[in-house]
Amino acid sequence: MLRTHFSLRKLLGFLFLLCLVYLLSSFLCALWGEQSLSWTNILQDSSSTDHEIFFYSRLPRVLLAGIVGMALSAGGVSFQCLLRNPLADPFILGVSGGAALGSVLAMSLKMPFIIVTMAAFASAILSMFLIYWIASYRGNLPVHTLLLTGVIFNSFTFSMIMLFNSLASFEEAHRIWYMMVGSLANESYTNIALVAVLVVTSLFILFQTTADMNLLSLGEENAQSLGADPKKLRRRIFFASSLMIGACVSLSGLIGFVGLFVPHMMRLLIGSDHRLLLPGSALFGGIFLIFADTASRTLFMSDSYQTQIPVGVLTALLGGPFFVYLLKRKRGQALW
Amino acid sequence: MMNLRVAWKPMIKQILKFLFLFLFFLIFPSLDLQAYQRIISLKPNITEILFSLGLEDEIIAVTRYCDFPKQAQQKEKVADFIQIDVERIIALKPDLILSSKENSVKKSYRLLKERGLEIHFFDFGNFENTLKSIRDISALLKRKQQADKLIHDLESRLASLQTQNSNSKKRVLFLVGHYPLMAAGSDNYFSEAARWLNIENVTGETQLKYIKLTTEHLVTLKPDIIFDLSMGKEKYAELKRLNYFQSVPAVKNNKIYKLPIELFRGSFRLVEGYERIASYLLQ
Repeated sequence: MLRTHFSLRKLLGFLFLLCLVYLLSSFLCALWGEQSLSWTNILQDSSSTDHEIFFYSRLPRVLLAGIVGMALSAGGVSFQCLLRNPLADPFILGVSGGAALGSVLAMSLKMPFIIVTMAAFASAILSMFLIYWIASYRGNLPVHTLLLTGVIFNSFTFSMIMLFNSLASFEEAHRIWYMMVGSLANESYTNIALVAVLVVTSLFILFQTTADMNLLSLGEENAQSLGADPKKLRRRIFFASSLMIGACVSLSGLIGFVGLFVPHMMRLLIGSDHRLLLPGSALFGGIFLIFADTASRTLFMSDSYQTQIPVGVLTALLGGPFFVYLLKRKRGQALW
Repeated sequence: MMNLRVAWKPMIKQILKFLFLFLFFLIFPSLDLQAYQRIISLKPNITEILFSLGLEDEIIAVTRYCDFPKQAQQKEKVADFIQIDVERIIALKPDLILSSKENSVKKSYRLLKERGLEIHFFDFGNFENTLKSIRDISALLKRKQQADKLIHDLESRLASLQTQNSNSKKRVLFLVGHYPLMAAGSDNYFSEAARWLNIENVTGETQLKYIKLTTEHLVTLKPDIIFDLSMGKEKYAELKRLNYFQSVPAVKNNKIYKLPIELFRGSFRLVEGYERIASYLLQ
């Protein structure tokens, strides 16, 4: 097993700190918004408007943002490890797009939410297989082929979604459009709970493999010689992360670049030991998306606009330039 | 000389022809024949207006959404809500095309104009303009009398609504879409309902015809009644979520009503729509 310069105490301390920040930011962001809420009203008067807005409009949104942020960032870390490629991200690779296509298909067939989620999961796995198969070249996975595959796969799935969009009714078309740009608004607690269960299960599975992820990132042969079973490991990471991504996409739509942005920020902060990187990225991703979503729902609330921008737009605006930065970084400089 | 004498016969023929044409054009207008025989309507409300004016036989094509009256569905369809089928329209050789200023793709209409087709656009943005447009259409199609009678009928029905509803002022929200939540702002058929019914549109002092709402905003507006005009078929499916917000009077007293948006297209059925609203206000 790899040694790190972190002691267990420091490690746990750091994660504990992140957990605190996570809770604090959820709390603050739920209080912050279009209508100013009074704390006493929220707690004491359960029939007040403030109470209702806090518990039925803001809190579900913040919770969902946290869960989706966690899943996307942890998904980013695992994809990057799985493909041994720093630019791997569920959105860029097209896995999110595939999941979106699956859920749009199920949605237009008027399936219940659980089926939509399962369809998203299935199509996430399927697209992952496809992308891997298309991009691999003699057992290798070169960066440029992978990115190209992602571009092509994305534009294909988007076109398919637009096809459904044009065939759908007026009201449904709007819904599909919202799925394309990513939005965390107006979800019921039951749906959020379902996604949370799936995400937490997947995260649990992934957390158990973090030590082996370190081995895997050294290369398959090295991992094998150090006592890991790369095939089994890969399969595990693969399924867990696809399940998580599929579940999130079915509810929140396409929120891009979180899986790229967050893990790399985290690597700059704490290095690339997966035992710390994975939980750290998950927590930081949650925090990041909670803030991003709060910004997206409050930034343009002034009188002249009176609108909320989809959170996917905001993350893409941040993530796009960051992606260019990663791509243009000096060759030879280690990305890991 | 020979030449002149021979030329008499065709000359008389010419004069007769001229006389015949002259007489024809003299009599033709007084016959009051319909000037336009092949009309295409590119908006559902225009189709309704044409049917009300008794022009059923002159309409050759309509849109996919023209579902009222029932006979309109039997006409050929050459448009959806926004897009029009330029090729088909040209092939049908219409002598008149009617459309509205709202929701029209300029590019495709330019193509039709370039083919020399006669197109008229009318404004159905609010109640006043709709009445004006109906008058303009009837003038264009020489159905002024019918139109005047129908408009008079409509206005008297509205006037009777005014006297019916004089109880306390209700605060009303008109929802026109769920994804995202959209509500009627000002200067449209819904905000103008306040003119005949004793109600207040909760979105009040806005510049916009339709505004995007957030759930938070909706809750703080505290409407007494919510009219759901969204196009979804399932009743209240998306409004179930509102049940959490019992501090909203409309939710608490279960006063969320579905209204068919087709009544508010901008035709003579508008009055029916206002009467529906009035009947819910009395409940």
